[in-house]
Amino acid sequence: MSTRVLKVIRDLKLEYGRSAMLITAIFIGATAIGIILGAYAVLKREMRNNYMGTVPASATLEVDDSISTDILNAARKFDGVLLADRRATITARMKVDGRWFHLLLFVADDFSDLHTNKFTPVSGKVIPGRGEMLVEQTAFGVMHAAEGDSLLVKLEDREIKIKLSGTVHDPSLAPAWQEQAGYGYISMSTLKLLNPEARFNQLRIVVTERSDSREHITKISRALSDHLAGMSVGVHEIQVPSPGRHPHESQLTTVMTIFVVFSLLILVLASILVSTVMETVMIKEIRQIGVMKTIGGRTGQIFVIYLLSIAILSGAGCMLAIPTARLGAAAFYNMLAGLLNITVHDNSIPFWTTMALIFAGTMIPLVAAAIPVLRGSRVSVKKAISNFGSSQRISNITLAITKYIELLFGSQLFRIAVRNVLRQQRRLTMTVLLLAIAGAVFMTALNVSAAWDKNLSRLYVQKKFDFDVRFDSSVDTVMIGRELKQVNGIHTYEFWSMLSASAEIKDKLSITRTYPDKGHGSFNIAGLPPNTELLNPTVRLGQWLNDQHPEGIVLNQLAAAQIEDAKPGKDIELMAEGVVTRWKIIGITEDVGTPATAYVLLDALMKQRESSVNTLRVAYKDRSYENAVANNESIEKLLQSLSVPVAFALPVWVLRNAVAAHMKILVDTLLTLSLLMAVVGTLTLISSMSISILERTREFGILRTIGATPSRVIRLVVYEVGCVSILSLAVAFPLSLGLSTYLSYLVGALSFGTPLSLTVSYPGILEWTALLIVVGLTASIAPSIRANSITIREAIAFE
Amino acid sequence: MSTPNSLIEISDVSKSYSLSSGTFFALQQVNLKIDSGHLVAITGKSGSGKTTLLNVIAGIDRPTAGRVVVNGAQIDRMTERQLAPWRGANIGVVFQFFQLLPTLTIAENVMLPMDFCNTFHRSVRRKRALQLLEMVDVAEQADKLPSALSGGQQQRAAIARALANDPPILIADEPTGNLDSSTAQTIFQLFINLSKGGKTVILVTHERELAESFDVVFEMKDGRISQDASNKMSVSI
Repeated sequence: MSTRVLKVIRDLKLEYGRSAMLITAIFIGATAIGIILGAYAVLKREMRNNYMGTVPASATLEVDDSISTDILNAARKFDGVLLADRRATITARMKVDGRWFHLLLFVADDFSDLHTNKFTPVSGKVIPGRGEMLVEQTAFGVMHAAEGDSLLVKLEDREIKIKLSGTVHDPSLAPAWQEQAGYGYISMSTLKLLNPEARFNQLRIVVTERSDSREHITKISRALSDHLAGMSVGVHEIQVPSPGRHPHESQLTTVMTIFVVFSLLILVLASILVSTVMETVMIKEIRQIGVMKTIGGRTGQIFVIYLLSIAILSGAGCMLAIPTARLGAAAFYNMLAGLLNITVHDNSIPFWTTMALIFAGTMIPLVAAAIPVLRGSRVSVKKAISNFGSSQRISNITLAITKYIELLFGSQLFRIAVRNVLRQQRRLTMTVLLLAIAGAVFMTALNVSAAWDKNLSRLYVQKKFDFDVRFDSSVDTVMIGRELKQVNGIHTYEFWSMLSASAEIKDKLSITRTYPDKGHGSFNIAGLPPNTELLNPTVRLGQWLNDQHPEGIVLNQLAAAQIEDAKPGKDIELMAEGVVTRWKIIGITEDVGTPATAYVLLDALMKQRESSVNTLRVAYKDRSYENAVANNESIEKLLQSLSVPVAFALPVWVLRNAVAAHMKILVDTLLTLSLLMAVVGTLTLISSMSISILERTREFGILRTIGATPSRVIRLVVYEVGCVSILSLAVAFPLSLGLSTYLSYLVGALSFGTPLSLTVSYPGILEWTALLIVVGLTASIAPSIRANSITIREAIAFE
Repeated sequence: MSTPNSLIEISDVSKSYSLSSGTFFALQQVNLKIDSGHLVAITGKSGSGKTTLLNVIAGIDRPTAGRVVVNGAQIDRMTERQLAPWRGANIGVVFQFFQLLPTLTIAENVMLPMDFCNTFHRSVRRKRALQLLEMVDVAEQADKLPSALSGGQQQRAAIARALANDPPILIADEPTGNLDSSTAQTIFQLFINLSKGGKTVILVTHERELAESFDVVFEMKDGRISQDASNKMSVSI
């Protein structure tokens, strides 16, 4: 082995503490990257495989009448159609612990021969009998039931007990707990027990070619629709969800992109730590560099020697990170798979993620270290061998600052501390920058988490109602209103009209982006009474509904995103359940926890589309959870006693929980990443202070010879740490504000289209400050005591 | 007096520094020629310019003016990049504080210049290092770290390292300044022997009592060579 390599290895062994710290920092950064990339690669692949494994329908054609087998066969033979099934999707209700909850019932024709939107049997029966239901595996928790139990299901005014005869897995659906709804699969014979008039009214098709083109799918669907019209079957809506994309795919991409950025930041921080340490190493070794150059060493050779040491440390960090990252990735993707309701069939983590880990884990530290190493290697022989330690030149600005501080605090010791901090300006810059970035990212993670919580709380501010009741058919609003007034605790109530809508109209046909769960990608039009008290919209553009603009329409941000060039003053057409309605946009709002919705005045809606109100929204005087639950029950009982057919009733707290559950992954992982950031920040401060104290052992010896007590020396160092910490906080805070603004915007905009407003987490600032104090004191006092424990003679002789 | 082809030839060399108090001349119009195989001393008070002169000869420092030719190469025109391998092949440097690399054994320290300059085949480097250590009488310490050796032993090892690439010139800046007188005498004898063996040895020293042993002694004062104390051989000013 060459003597140069021997030197590298021996130096690393000699400074094992420093080496271990750098390996740890690189290990943490590389592991974070490995975990995130590994989990992302597996989840992206498995999500797609899971979703495509269900053979998702390219389109769903909602027909006015029943789909007979003749029509189904005609559709199957239609040019451009590969597969077709007839289905129905019913929004029913289930009774859980005495309360009614949302239940989505998927009705299939022949469970033994499903062509589209398949699901996988897990246990129990594969084909549900009459009066039986297969349950999506994630729904049992919401149902508070187990396979074999029976569940009371209600549709309009009919209630029947349905046996939960089997368990299935349907990865095209979000987990039931996330949507706060039950998922059941029944046959038409069971549905007829709830509604004798029930029929198959959905035709699901898979196109033969270009299945990734929404345009092509729409074209085939419209052609089929025309063909069915010739058979006297009217199609009023074509649902074309994003081809090949799981409803939560964009959520996964958003979350994982943020994680990748954060994990890269951790590695960048670790690399800056490496760079800072190497800066010190190069100063410490300057005489050795001079000697090596004197005996024939060239700049390039010396550069390689020191860079090799970083390569070895990075390599060691990566080698440790590879197995840890794989284990971590497995744990992470399994956790996320549960949150996304997908099954990981193939556990293999793609090799490229390991290569990316090695590349990032070695190249980023090497690039970061290259600058100080090159600077140190290029030092001239004369400068190197005549080096008397760090530069003692103190700028006039430094002198002025220290003088001012002395005047301000009257402490000479503090003045010396400030001067000491400022004299190694390059290292000070690096340390402050490093701590500031770590602190900023730590605070940003907590800020974004707090912004998300604040955004969630806006849901209660915007939605002034506590209970949302949807009726199946027209109701006597006067009678219901009269009875509601008798119920205690009700603040107010309003009757609205909620209709499914579409902004894309082709030949009087509504083209929507709705997924089969009827939730994701849906678009609603809401008719409200003038001066509604139950909505407190955040108007971002234009104005809210008012009598001066009877034909005015206000779009929320998700609805506006579906309409080209949506802005106040634009005339638009919306298909509202089969009828084309015309409006003028007067405003755009920003809603929390609401799907794409267009708000219009109820009277104006009734005028354009003959329909009755179908929604009751009630606000309580006391909005607490306990009171809301009790009042919801009272209203349910009241409506039951009045024989009012309720399609579903959704408490607002359920909606809030559903929205919160959607971003649970992001918030939890952000907090975990902030902890990793804290670890790297801690390592930074410890290393910076330890190195600084170690190389000043001689200086401390001199201070002691001229009368400084060990406690004064320790105080000096503590002041120095204090200065560095305060400086880093001063940089970290504004940096965190900028980072938080950007990330909050990104998270909000990409999740629900509502950019989160900047929120400062005060606990985050306090926690980071406390961490700096605790770690700073530990990092300064311990090595100071050690430096003070050696004799003055040893200290002065220290090199 | 000088031979036609001097090993070291310094012509009108000056070295100045700009200070706030004005220009300081470390060397002023220095001229000298040294032929091979001589044992040369440079003496003078602190700040007289002797170390600067040594550094100029070794290519460690650049003159502000003048010409420096060492072993046929005009080194004042060479870049740092060119100087490193040139120095490794032509100059052996011995420091006052030995400056052995602390994490390499004595033998490895001696092998390091061969490694840097890629002189001698890798398989024979250790053998050569041991021979050199044998020559300076520290072969038994070959596999120890410098910290395990006395000052005298470390300086012997440093001399062996300086000889690793078999350079024609050996320079030493106060090589005995950190040693007791007995050890200093032994180290000095080593330099005499090397000179007798054909090496040109240039020492900066304060120890005037050793002057008799040198072929030439230059005394420096205020950046000039003020006196040639014992111009016994072919050295010219």
